[in-house]
Amino acid sequence: MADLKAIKKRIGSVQNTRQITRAMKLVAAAKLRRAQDAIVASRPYAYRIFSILLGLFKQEGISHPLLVERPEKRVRLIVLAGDRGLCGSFNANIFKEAQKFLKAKKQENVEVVLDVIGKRAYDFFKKRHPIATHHEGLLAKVTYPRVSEIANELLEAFKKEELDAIYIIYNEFKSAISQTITTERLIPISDEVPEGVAGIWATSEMDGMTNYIFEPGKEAILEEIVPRHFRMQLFRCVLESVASEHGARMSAMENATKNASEMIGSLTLEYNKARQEKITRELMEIVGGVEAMK
Amino acid sequence: MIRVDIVTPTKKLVEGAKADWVKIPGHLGELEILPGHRELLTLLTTGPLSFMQDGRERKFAISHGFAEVRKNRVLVMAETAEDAAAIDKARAQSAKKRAEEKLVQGVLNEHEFKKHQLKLQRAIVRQTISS
Repeated sequence: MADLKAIKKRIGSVQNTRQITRAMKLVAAAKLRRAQDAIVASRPYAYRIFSILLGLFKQEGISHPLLVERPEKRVRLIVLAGDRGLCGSFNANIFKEAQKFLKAKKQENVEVVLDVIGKRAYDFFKKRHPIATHHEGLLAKVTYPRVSEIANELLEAFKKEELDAIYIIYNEFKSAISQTITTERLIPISDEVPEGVAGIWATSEMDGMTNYIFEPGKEAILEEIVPRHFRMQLFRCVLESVASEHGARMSAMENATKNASEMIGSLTLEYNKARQEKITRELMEIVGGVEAMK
Repeated sequence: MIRVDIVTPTKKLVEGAKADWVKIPGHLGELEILPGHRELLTLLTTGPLSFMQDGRERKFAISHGFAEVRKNRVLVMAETAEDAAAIDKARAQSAKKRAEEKLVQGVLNEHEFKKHQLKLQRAIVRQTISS
C-alpha cells in the first residue's frame, strides 16, 4: 500500500515549489517590461549617434585612432552573463560561446583577457581564464554613468595600445521568449551596422551630410562622437542582456510552474487511488468480519 | 516652425515639439536657430537650452552633446538633459555647494578636478534656469 501520508506531503512540497516558481515568473515579467522600456528609451540616441558617425565616415580624409585596425595581439573579451541562475540556459550558452571564442583566438596566438559582468560569469571563469576586471553589482542597477566609466577605461587601454581590439559576447534580446547569443567587435569601430540592431536601424537616413557646417570642425566632432558611440554600444549590450536574462527566467519559471502542476496532478491521482484502495480494503475487512460472525 | 527633439541615452525628453526659435549652448557660444537655418552639426557645452513653443518659453539644462540642424529640425543629443520645470532647486543648490567645497579643498587629481568642475557647471546651469 502506497503511504498516504508520504504522498500528501509530497503534494504539499510541490505546491510550495509551484508557488515560488510562479512568483518568480511574475517578478521576472515585471522586470522584463522595465528592461524593455529601457532598451526602447535608449534607441533614438544610439541610433542618431551612429547615423552621424556613418555620415562622417563618408566624408573625405576622416580618421580616428578608434577606427584603425591593427594586427590583434592582445584582445579584451567582455562576457556578459547574469548574477543569478534559474534562468534556463541563459548563462551556460554564454560560457559555451565564450570558450569557443577563446579557443579560436588561442589558435591564432592572440592573447585574450576577460572582462566579466555578472556573478555567474565570474564564478565560471575565475579558475579557467585570466580576468582583468569583474564589474560587480553592475547588473543590479544598470545606469549610463556606470557603464560609461567601464567604457572609458577600455578606451584608455586601447589608446595606450594595451589592447588591439575589444569584443563582447552577450545575449541579444529578440523577444521575451527568444534570445540570441551574439559576438560583436566593439573596437575598432567599423562602419557596419552592429548585428544586434541591423533590423531596427535603417540606413536610409544616414547620408547626405555634404552641406553641413561643422562646428567647431569635423575632427573635433569625430573626437567626441566616436567614444560616445562606443559607450552607447556597451550600454545597449548591457540593457539587451538584462532584458534577455529576465525573458529567459520568465520562460524557465513558466515551464517549472507547468511541470509542477503536472506533477501535482499525477500525485493527486496516485493519492486518490491509494485512498480508494484503503477504503475498499477496510470494507472488505468489515464485510469479512460480519460474515464470520454469522 | 522648427521641430525640436531632445534625446539622451536613457530617455526621449522632447519629441516633435513645434517651436518658433531654439537657443542652444553651442561650442562657440549661444546659437539661435530660426526656421530655414542651414544644415549644421555642432558640439554643445553644458548650458541652458530654450525654445519658444506656443508663446511659452521652455527651458532645459543640458550637458555634453551635439545638436544637429537640418530641414527645419533641431535634434539635440545630450548626455544629460533636464526640464527646468522638473529641477529641484534645493538639490541644485546643495550640489553646487558640494562641488565648490571639493574644488576649494584642492586635494584632487586631474580627473577628479575635472569631474567636480563639470558638476559645478551643471549645478550652476540648473540653478540659473530654474529661477
